[in-house]
Amino acid sequence: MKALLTSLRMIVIAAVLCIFLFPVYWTVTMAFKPAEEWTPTGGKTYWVPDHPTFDNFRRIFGGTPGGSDSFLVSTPINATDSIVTSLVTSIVGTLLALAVGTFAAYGISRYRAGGKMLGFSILQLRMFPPIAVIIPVLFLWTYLHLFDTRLGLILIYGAVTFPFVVWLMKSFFDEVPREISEAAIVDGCSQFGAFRKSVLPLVKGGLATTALFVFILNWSDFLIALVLAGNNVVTAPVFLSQITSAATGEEFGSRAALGVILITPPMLLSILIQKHLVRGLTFGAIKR
Amino acid sequence: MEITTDTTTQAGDSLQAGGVPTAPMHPHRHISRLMILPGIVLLLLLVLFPVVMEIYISLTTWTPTTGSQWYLAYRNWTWFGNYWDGLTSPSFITAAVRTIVMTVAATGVEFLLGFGLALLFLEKFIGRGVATVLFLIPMMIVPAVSGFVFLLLLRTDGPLNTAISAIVPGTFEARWLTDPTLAPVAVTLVDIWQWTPLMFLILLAGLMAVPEDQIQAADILGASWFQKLRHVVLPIVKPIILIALIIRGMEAFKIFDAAWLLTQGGPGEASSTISVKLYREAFQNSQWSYVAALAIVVMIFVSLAASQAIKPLERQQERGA
Amino acid sequence: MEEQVHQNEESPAGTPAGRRATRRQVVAAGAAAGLGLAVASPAAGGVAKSTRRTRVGRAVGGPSGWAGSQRYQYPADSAPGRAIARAKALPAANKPAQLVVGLYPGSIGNYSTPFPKGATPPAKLWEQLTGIKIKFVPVDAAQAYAKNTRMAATRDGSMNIVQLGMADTGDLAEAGLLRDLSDYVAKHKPDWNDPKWGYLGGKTTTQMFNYYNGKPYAVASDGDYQIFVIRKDLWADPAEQKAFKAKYGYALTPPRTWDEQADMAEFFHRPNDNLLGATDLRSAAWGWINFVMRYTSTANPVAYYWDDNMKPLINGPGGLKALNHLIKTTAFGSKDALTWVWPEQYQNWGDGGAAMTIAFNNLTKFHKKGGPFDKSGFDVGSKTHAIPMPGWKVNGKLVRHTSLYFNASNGVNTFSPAKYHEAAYLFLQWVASGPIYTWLTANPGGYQDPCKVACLTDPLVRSSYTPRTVDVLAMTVPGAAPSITALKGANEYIQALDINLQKALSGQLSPQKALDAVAASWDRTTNKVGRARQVAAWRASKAGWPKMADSAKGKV
Repeated sequence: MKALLTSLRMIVIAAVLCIFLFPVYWTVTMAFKPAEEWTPTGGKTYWVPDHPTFDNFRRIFGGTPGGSDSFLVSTPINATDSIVTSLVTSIVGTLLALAVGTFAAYGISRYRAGGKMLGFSILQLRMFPPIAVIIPVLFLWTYLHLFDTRLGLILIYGAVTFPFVVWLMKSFFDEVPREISEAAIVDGCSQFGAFRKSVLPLVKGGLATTALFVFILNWSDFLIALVLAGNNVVTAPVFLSQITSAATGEEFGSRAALGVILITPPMLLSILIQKHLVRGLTFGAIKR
Repeated sequence: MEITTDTTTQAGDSLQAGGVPTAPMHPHRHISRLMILPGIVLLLLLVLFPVVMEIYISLTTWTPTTGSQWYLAYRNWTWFGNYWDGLTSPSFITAAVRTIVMTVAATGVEFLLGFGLALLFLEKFIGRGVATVLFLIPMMIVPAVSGFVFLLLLRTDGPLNTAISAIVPGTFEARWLTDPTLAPVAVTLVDIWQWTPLMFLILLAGLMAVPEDQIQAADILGASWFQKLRHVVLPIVKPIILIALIIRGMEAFKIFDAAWLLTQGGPGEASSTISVKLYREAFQNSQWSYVAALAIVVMIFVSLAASQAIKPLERQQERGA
Repeated sequence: MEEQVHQNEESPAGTPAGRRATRRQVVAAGAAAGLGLAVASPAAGGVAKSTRRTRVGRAVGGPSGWAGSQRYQYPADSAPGRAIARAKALPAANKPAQLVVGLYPGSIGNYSTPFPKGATPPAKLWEQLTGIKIKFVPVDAAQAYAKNTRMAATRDGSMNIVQLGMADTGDLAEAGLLRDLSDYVAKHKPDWNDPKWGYLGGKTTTQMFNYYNGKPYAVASDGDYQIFVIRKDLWADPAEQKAFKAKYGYALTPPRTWDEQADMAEFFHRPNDNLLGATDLRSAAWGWINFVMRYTSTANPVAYYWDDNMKPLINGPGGLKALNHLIKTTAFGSKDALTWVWPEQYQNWGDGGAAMTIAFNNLTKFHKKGGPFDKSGFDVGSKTHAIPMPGWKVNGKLVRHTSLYFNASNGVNTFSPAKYHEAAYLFLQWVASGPIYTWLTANPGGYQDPCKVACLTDPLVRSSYTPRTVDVLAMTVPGAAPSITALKGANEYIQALDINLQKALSGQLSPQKALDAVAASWDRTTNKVGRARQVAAWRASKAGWPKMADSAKGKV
């Protein structure tokens, strides 16, 4: 019976994975399709690229489009700058949100700092539709000379994702029994020491999850980078949305190629954290 | 043995043996303030000015095409004209209702799927690490990309319909993107695809944090899997579930990328969510004051909804049970 | 086509010698073009000198160093000549080291890739001639209006020259972003109305493209006129002709009216054989122009969107007729018609998948044998035949109008440093002048389309766009009806039309209700803008509307 359940479990997991990964498969194959196979209108669907090519990747890193496009000269583009910009702004923005948010979360969770209202006010930051937030921030950023700068993006990324960190980390901190930090204090730690040495390690899983989520949010952001930057400071999603050519319009293959490359940083991060998740956190220290 | 979840007590309490709260301890006050200080600074920066400015221009008819600077908007004062226009606009009301429905559907399905999967992943199996990472990939595809990928997948002659046609009799030709009823469904499906992995991740992290000893204790008492779930796991994980639902719900309410890239909120306005409507008004019609008014209405509504949703969370914390 | 020889209207009354030189130069260039020869030129390398003696013996400016470059050269007292001379002579305080120019990414190729091979591209040529560098900033077409609005609101002067579409002129002028160019136009005399080098369609087109409320705010460099194309192999097939005559009772000739078009679309709609009847677009943001195409010819000489008091006319009988036809013929297109954008349409056309379509006139530019859309080897290019846009018979008289939308133009950013405004304007005067524009429009590396009279006879343009298409443009552009433009709130009007058309096409609203919703929405916008002011702007914009019912005079 147990074996049957286990195999059933495996089958369900495999099936769900297949369904969820099909669009991913489509994206990856699109990245290797030549221009002719991007939009089949003759009734033929290209499940697998007929003539796989690296042209799309070459195109986004400065090459001119090859293949049947060769008689059409399009302006070369290079995605490297935008990828670097995205990395810098997302990573630092995430760290900012994590730092500020984790402290605040502990303060609210452990000490009820700020009373009842602080937590909720922080959450309210996310209730404003982003378009409405962007417009005033646009003016604010212009006055502060943060418009179209990396620092400006970092600050705004940190600010808009910090509520997530607070609320997620707060809930993970709430799961930690008080006795743990109490015990550390009894052992001679300061309040901050107790936080750092005994509580923080216990919420590693939660911290990792939060970090991943926040990073992905910042990494995928389009609207903010579009409105608050876009001339000198171009992030990868904005760059991607502008890959067009005179002849073929939106270059699906090139966009897919860049999209595939853009999966890498979040993927790396998630590989790093899955150790923390899957290790299984035990609270065996406390017996009640 | 009493099975409890440890939650917080009032600020500054300390527990003595037996768990009797004493009077607040003063040193904690400084630490606590210090911890939240950076957060408050960020909050003020990003809330005070934007909210004040949005309220200001929402009471005027200023737009960039008025030609004057925004702080001179008082010259176009209109009191609650924008609010009235918004609340009596059938297009906005329909978009609001539609967004609520899509949010509830998306969040609900994402939760159920995510929770189910997290339960399945709880016990170790070979390749669990790999499977976890694989399952997270949909989240990592930038919406700018998943937008056009789903556009291609959902065409009437696209792979999805072709695949379904292979299974069902006859040709399956659902017009996912051009039928007024199916378009919002398609957008919801894309959201589910993209964010179920997140729910899965959060819930998995929460489930894994359930203390082993309590599970073992329940085992000793002879509890079945289902009883363990209901009486041990769920109470502990409840705060995380609530947070996940609230956070995802709030985000789903603002759904934009999928709706815009797939259908531009169409056909017509059939899949226009509130964010799509605001985007059109702001960036295609440059009606910034109207958008400000609508945004404030939305914010008030979401605030009320969220404050209601948080009540169970706060109650639990008060009780400490 | 007969070479027209006229005086350059814009140049100051020159010396008799100057006039003679102009005429001789034009004749020489025309002769060379007619013979398909190029006047002999020195070795390649594309080094441009600012003055160069040609066979006709007058100092000229412009591109040089490649076969045929003489066609695009100009004398000193021409619009481009004056622009260069003045730009060079600018005092140091007014001469920027570089001009930041916003451009659609798909247009940058026109300005900065060599065409023909080995030639110095226009932007580089300008740099060599004036010493002012040009830096292009790509401005995605879908985001351009939002970007411009943002720049206006925050008084952002980082771009000297902004990119816009024709519908945005009113809004951006009102927002203060676009500098009023009247003084520069008076001073430097661009060749916009020149009979040879000016806009195709003359003063009417100039008004439509560059003017808002009577003042010039933008310089258009594009010609997004729509053309109607048929598959001439299908029309020429005797078997098809016989079957059509048998079924519909009249001969299968290229359609002159929309009723004929509907019949032929129905006749050729054979999805099982991979042939669609008519694939003119129906999608959001792209398809509304095809409603306009059917609407503006419902009245003689032309059907306006509003009457002279800004009362909408769109929901009258003409609008209903147009919308009903639009809905009816959607069935003869793709099942995904509501999501098809031009790449799908072009791909399908290249596969021989449609009998008729309406598209940008660059359709024939991109559908060459072995080109990007000829993947199946069908060579649709040889089978594509452009004809004037069909119309309606109004009281027995045939009324036909093509139309256009998007259409790139550029303006000078008011908020950029004022001392460089003139330099920015001079670049626009030069790059949008007849000679330079005609040269760069033939470049397949960018999607800017012909809009100047000279384009009609230019060998590069004719071979690039195909002679037939160019001839059809010559016939139809003078009679082109504007889409919604030259008004504040133009985008809102278009939005309302677009969204309600989509609702009608997807069955959410009946046609009359959809049009009534459009009219109601339009009234709201007009009231918001200010009725009196909008009426004035609308009446001023009518200077850009055609006066004749059918500029192609019945020809197909």
